[in-house]
Amino acid sequence: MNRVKEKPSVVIRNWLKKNWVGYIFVCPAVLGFLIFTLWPMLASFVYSFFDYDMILPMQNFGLQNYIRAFTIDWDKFSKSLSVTFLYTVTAVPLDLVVSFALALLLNKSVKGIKVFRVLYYLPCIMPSIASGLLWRNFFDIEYGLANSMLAALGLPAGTFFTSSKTAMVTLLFTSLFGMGGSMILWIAQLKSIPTELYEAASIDGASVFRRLFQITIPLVTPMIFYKLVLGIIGALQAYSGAFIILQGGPGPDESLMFWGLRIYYSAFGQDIPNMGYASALAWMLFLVIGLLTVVIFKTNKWTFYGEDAQ
Amino acid sequence: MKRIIALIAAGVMAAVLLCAAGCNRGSAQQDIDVNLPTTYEADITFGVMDDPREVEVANYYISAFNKVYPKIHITVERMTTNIASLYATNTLQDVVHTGSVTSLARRGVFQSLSPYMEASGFDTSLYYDSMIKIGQYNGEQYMLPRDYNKIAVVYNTDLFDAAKVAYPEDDWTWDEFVQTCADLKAGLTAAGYTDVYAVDAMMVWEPVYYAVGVGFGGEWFDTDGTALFENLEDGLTELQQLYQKGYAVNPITKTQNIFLFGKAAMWILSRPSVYNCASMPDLNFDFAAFPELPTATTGAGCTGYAINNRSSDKNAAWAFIEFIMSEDGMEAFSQTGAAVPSMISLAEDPEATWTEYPDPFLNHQAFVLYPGRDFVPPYADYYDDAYSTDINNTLLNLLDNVIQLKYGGPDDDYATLEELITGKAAEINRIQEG
Amino acid sequence: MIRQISESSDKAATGNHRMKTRKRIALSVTYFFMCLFALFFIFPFLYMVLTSFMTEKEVTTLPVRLFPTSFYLGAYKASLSPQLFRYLLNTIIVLAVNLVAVPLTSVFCAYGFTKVQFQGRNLIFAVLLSTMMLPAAVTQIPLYIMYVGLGWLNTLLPLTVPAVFGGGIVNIFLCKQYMRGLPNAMNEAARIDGANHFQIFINLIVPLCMPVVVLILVNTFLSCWNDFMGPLIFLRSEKVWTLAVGIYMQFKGDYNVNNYPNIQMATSTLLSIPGIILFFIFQNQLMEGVVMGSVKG
Repeated sequence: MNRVKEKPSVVIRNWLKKNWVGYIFVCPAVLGFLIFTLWPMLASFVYSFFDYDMILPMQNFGLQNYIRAFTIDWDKFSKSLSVTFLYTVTAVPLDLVVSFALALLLNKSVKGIKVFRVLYYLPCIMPSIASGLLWRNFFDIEYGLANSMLAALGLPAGTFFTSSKTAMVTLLFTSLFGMGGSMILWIAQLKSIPTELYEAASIDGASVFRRLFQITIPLVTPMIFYKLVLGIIGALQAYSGAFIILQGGPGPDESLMFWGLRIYYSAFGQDIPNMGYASALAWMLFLVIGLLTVVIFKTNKWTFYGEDAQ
Repeated sequence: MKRIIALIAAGVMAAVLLCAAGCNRGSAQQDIDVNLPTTYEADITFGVMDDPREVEVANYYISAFNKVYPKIHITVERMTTNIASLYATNTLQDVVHTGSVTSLARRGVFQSLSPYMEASGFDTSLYYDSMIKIGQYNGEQYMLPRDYNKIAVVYNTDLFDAAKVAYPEDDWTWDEFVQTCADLKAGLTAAGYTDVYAVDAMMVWEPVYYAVGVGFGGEWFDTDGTALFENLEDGLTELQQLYQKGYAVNPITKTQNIFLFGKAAMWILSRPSVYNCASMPDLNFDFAAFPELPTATTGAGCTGYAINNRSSDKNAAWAFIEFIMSEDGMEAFSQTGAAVPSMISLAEDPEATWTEYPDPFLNHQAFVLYPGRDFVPPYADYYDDAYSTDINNTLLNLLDNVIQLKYGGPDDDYATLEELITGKAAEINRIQEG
Repeated sequence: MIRQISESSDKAATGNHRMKTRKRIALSVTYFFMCLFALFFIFPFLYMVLTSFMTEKEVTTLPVRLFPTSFYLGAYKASLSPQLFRYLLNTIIVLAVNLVAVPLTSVFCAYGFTKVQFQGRNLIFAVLLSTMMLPAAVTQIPLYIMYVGLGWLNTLLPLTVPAVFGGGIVNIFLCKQYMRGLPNAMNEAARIDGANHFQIFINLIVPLCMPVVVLILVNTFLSCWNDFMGPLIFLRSEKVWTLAVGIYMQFKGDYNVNNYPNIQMATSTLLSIPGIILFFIFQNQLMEGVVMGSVKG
């Protein structure tokens, strides 16, 4: 027997009756998304095709902003690409490996372990402006403690943030102190590995290394995946740490000119803003992040989920 | 679902375009009237740069102005964001304090002052010609200068005494300046001041490097903004040698104002920085004119006042600017001691009130001697502010590489100084093609 | 037979002894490295606090030392300027709005995503979650233009209004994770008794969600307190600067009478104190929350 076709208004009314509660509950988030995320996204997409300096109305519809990045602005844009990618491919693995090692170290139930974990996490709660000022002063080549310490040890003075060869390394060094947060994540993940596996392995005579590589690492692959994705997304758009230390500058020979910094300059760093170009750069960054994320998700064959697999 | 997304997108685009278009409201038309009666009533806003001292200066102007036009009420506002944003939202003040005009005038942000000047018979010869030129664009005047900021040298008399070096004279040449640096270095080291530099030469400050480059026969920019960078080797080498011989501190890595803290015997500055010197209690100093370069150039600049093109009462705004430029207005400014007024008679008067700050017995003439040498850095006029950050960064990069001899080495990008200079010029020209 | 057994037990005894010393050595080595790295991690904080007690002369004489010669409090005095209090007030205002709005809206929205069935629930949540991939720059530029048009740049509104709208997908996600763990039995009982979703929410869920609310409160406090880039871009008047931006602007540029390393470090230390206090009090919740937010749901 065919169902009687209901009138559209009745259909809508029924649908509303079923769903209105849910929509009320989520409407702040949805509204927030529409106003503060979706609309700006579309707006900046539109801006990227115009010349827009906020004084004159938008003009010159075309791809000139995108083309500009690859032709006229190529010196600076390629520099920011290389800086950003260099930072990403060094900082993300550095964080993964170092924090994991630290977690292995601190994953013991000895006395006072909690104190150690707190101490390791301490640099993460310092505000970014405080640590920025701190590193700026510490690595000052004339009056900074770093060079005084090196001098006391008889070593030559370092150039830290004043030479293009050492600027990135120094920045990565300062990022080491943020490992505490990642370490906590690893410890939680490590704790979820049932100890019977380890006991069984040591009964079978497995060495520490074998246990590490055959049990621990495979079982934490979900966390590796999670941190890899978030880490890459974060590292590609990062620029505020260097911004505070260099007080807005691009670094010697522009060695710390991140992609995000380039966007900031175009939009906010000049007397006459170039919003179209900044939007184009921002959207290209978004594309890169999106593509990389999709690639990582698609090649996610190596994550092991165990019994509670998705 | 797709249709909904398309609808949203279309609606958004429409909204955006409407917004952008609608933000361009026309300004009220007002006939030019330069002879306002003293009982004229108006209410205008005065935008000053974001500095408490500028508010002080503004108040000096306003109290003097209200003696002539008591009913024109002026509110002082600090401009906390750039002029472009303020103009875009119709919150730009009626009278605007600004340094550069080209980019903004080109976009119609300012009202041309030329018709007002003509109607009131404004005499530009009373002011330094080089400063008047700074406020011009395309043959029209958009900004009238309030001060005359020429670079000069301030020196620490105590350190000179300790090094047993004679004080500089106003008519000294660049070679004599370099010789003084050498003498200072030797003398200071002998006297035990091992961490004191001879000079803080401010080599990455536009007035200094532009002037020195031109002073040795070079040319930076063409009138349409093209980077020429010809014959700059001599001038840039001079700057480089100041650092390489240990006379000057590395301007890029210095974090301290070393002159103020007694770590340099000389400092190249402009008049507004005298305030900083005066606020250091233990500093004993005096001034000398900037040394004479072979083609006799000295860097100079100014700031001044313009009228917002969307102002609703441009006549009142003009009355205020006219007052600022008059003798009474210039005298009010002179009393603040903030900088040298741009009116020639007041600037060159040895008894003018501005010379009383901080100490009337100092050699204030150092800031006004040799006006013929004035060279105004052309950055304000020639290239568009939309590229200023990139161009400035490239220039800074050039100076950094020159000063630290980053050429000719195995991992340097350029083999010779000439190539470095031409390379950077090409970079700047590429930036401007957009 | 007995001799064999006693021989083997002897071997076992010495074997055990060897095991114990090996274990003890391993433990000492571990402790050594733990302490070494602890020193490493605590060093920045130590440097900050020690430098804040130095005098201006000490920080500008070479060689610079790690330990100050005396307990000089002048740097702290200099850092407590009236502007600092102005910035503090602004930061407190932003905090007040955020600390009230964010937990409320997070829990509210999360409930909708967890316990209420409606069409498109998963799709909407997935779309919201995907905004994590969006670089901030893409939205900051049009938001700036929008705020310029609205005249919000001289106010604190850009930092307070967005908080009312869900407070960020991460917090909603945290709540969602937490609520999943709440048994449905109570809800079902309440529904049978005729309560609607709103009543269930207010009377049952909210009290139960206190732990995650505490976590969100702490997280929100820390992120507002430390937020730098947002205020830098959106707050364009000195009178509305928050602490992070105000301190950055104050210490920008060359050293001068108000801008010495010891003053910078004193201000930074003061700025870090609230975070550290909060951290010590809510340690466990914070660490748990870090974990909760990461386990893939």
